[in-house]
Amino acid sequence: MILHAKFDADIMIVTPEGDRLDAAAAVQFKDAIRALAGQATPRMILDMSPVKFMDSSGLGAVIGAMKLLAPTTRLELAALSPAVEKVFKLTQMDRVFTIHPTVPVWQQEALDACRVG
Amino acid sequence: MRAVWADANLSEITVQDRSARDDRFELRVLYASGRFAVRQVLLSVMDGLSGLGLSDSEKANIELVLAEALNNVAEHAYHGVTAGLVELRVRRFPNHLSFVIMDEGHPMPTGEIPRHDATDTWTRGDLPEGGFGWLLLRTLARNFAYRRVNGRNTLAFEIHFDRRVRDS
Repeated sequence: MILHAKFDADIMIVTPEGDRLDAAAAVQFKDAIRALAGQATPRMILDMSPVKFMDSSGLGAVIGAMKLLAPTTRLELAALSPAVEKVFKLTQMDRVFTIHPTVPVWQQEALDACRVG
Repeated sequence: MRAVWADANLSEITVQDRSARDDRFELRVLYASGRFAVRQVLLSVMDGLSGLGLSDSEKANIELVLAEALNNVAEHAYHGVTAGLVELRVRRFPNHLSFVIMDEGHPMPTGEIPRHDATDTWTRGDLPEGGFGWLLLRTLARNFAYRRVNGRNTLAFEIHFDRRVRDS
């Protein structure tokens, strides 16, 4: 699984490539997050908008990612599809993560500005 | 009946639809267990169920339940075994779908369906990374039955709907 990352000093927005965060993708996902952990930004927002299906292995990988990023980087989630949101709700993991309805626009703009400048 | 070759290796996916003949919808999938096989099977099964007029939410529930059950076969029953045979049958009833999964792998460790899941860890205050599979299975499906006969595991369960399920 490939992760696309945009970041400045304070925040990193990470977007996975591929629409399934499942048992087949879980290990690669965690490895890719581990590779990004060295950036040590205080916040990472995982843009889940491409992910249309996530199983319990995928959920475990997201929780594992949060654990391996802590305490340096706080993992937050954004733009869950209905099927993915359901898994977080049924397992009550929606109480553990900060979940944004969309990738916050001001952060996108700040990052775009940062990239242009 | 139509047959689909999902994978050039071993995984033959057969979709049988007998609804026209005796009003009984049955979908049967035979495949060789493996890391990427479950993903392919799910896509084929969801395609096979596409004529039942299910809502997006119902389809999401079915796909998730099947993913958990089939991943369990791959990760536990066939732990350390490559390309073990798995058979999945889906049948339609007026208000529910019934699922039967058969494999020839290791038995369930306790000889029965696991009683404990992530909620046990959760109440201890740790953040679990696993154990959500059976939590999701129990929440979204019901009437689980497990049997071990002649070296063969059979797991059956049902997903119920609050309306009749029919061909669209």
